[in-house]
Formats: sequence, C-alpha cells, structure tokens
Amino acid sequence: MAFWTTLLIIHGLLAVALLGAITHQAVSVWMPVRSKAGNFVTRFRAVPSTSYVTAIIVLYVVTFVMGAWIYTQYRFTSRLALEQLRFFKTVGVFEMKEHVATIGIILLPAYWAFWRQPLSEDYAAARKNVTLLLAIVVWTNFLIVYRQQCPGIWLMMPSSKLAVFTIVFGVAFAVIYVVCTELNLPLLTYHPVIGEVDFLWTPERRVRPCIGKAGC
Amino acid sequence: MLTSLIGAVALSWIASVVPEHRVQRVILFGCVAAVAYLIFYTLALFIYDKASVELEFLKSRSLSVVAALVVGAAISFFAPTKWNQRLWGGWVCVVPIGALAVLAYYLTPYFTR
Repeated sequence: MAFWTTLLIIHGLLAVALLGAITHQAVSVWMPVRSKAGNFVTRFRAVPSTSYVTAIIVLYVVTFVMGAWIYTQYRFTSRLALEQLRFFKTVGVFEMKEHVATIGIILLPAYWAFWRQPLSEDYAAARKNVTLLLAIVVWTNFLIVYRQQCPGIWLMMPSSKLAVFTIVFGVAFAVIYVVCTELNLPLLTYHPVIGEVDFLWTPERRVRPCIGKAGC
Repeated sequence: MLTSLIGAVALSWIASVVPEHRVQRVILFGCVAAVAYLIFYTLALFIYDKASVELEFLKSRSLSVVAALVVGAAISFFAPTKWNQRLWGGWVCVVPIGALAVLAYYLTPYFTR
C-alpha cells in the first residue's frame, strides 16, 4: 500500500510541475509581453515559451506513465468499491479524466513538431492552439482529481513530412482510440487474479491453464 | 491504447509518403462525413419521431451513412484548391476534441443512473 501511495504522491507532484510549466507557456504564447517586464503578472507572461517544450513533454509522458501504472491498481481495487457504493458519477468523471489524458498524450508529437526550432510561420496558429488545448487538458485533469479529492505565408519547411506525420498521428490516434475503446479491442488483456497477460482480447480468467497432468 | 498507437503510427507513415494535398483531402472528407452523418441521422430520427405516418426507412442507419458519404465526397472534391494545398495543423485540435465529445457521450450512463 505504501508503494502505491508513494507513487500517487510523486504522480501528483509531477502533475503540479507540469501544470505550472504548461500554464506559463500557454499564457506567454497567447498573451505575449511587448514591453519590459514589470509586475508579477507581466513577468509571468514574459517567460521564453520555447524553453518549456522539452520539460513539458517529459513531464507529461512521465506523469502519464505513472498514472497508467496507478490505474492498473485502481481498476480492480478502488473502482470496485466505488461501483459497489454506487458512486457512478465519480467513476464516470475518473474515466473521462483517463480519456482526456490519452487525448493529451496523442497531441504531444504534433506539439513537439510545431515547436521545433526554427519555429515555422506555417504552423504559428496551430502551435498556439495545440499549446492551449494541451493546457486545457492538463487543467481539466487537475481539476477532476482535485474535485474528487498563419495567415498567408507559405514558407518552405525542412520538417514538412514530420509535421504531416505528427498531425495525422494525432488525428488517426484519436479516431482509432474511440473505436477501440467502444468496441473493446485491446492489444493485451491483463488478468489480475492470476497475474497473466494475454495477447489481444480474451475472456476473464481466474485459473491458470492446465499444463500436463501435474498442473490439473 | 496500444492498438490505437500501432494503427496511428501505420497511418501516419502512409500519410507522410503520399502527397500532402491528398492527406488533407482525406481528412477533410472524413471529418465532413462524420459531422454530416451526425446531422442526417439526428434529423432522420427527429422526422421519424414527429411524423404522423410510420416512416420505417428513416430508422435505418445506412441511409444516413450514404448521404453523409456523398456530402463528404462532394465538399472535399469541390473545396477551394487553397484549402487542400497544405495539411491544416488545426486538425490535430479539432479531431481530438471531437473524439473527446464522443467518449463523453458514451460515458453519460454513469451520470444518468
């Protein structure tokens, strides 16, 4: 239990760091400061937004992986209790949080491509929008957990193929994710009772298969 | 998620080797068709509900699917050339937001029972 609690606390701390970084970047991109920094709010807006990119990507991925790891425990402990106690809204909000986090992670390749140096004018608007959407995703997840507890310029870009790849990745992932979620098409099925993992979807198993006479 | 990851990587790789204007056209077609299907099917069910005679064919999804595909194809085909020159970066925001809306819709039973 101490292990999961420690993991949860680290997950929370990383999430707060991510929240600060993405908020800083989103504010500095959407409300850039033209004059010299003065009061606290102006200084908050005056940060160099490009310097946050790597930190945000790393923090998001690490926070997400930790969250996914904790989710495996939540799925067959806390969630069962919540369902038995008929806290369906809580379960629903938590499930929504997981989907929002997944949608956030699929934005990361495009986010990274749009923020690559030198910054492309072609994707200036997309860069601002993706940053804002990512900030909304992180804030939404934070608030859910807290509550429970370019115009006209066509420059040649060296990274055009990369941008296409990341945009299509974001689009395709979102669509396939919805289909796979609703049709229940996992790549791996985990059986927590026997601690085994099967390839693709398999029915629930509570006993290990017989291997020879001794195993039966 | 892993299934989606594999599918998305495969599709993205294909997209990065085909001409950009075609990718833009395909995504435009997909998005327009999806929105058109939503509108047509809602409209069909609304008319079915309000009609004084039994219009059984309106309950069929295939009619709305065909209509949506036709509208999607027409709009993506006749869209101004300027729209289809480059892949629009905004798709990466629009489609995930749409996906979130669909996922939220599927989670509504948790909030209504």
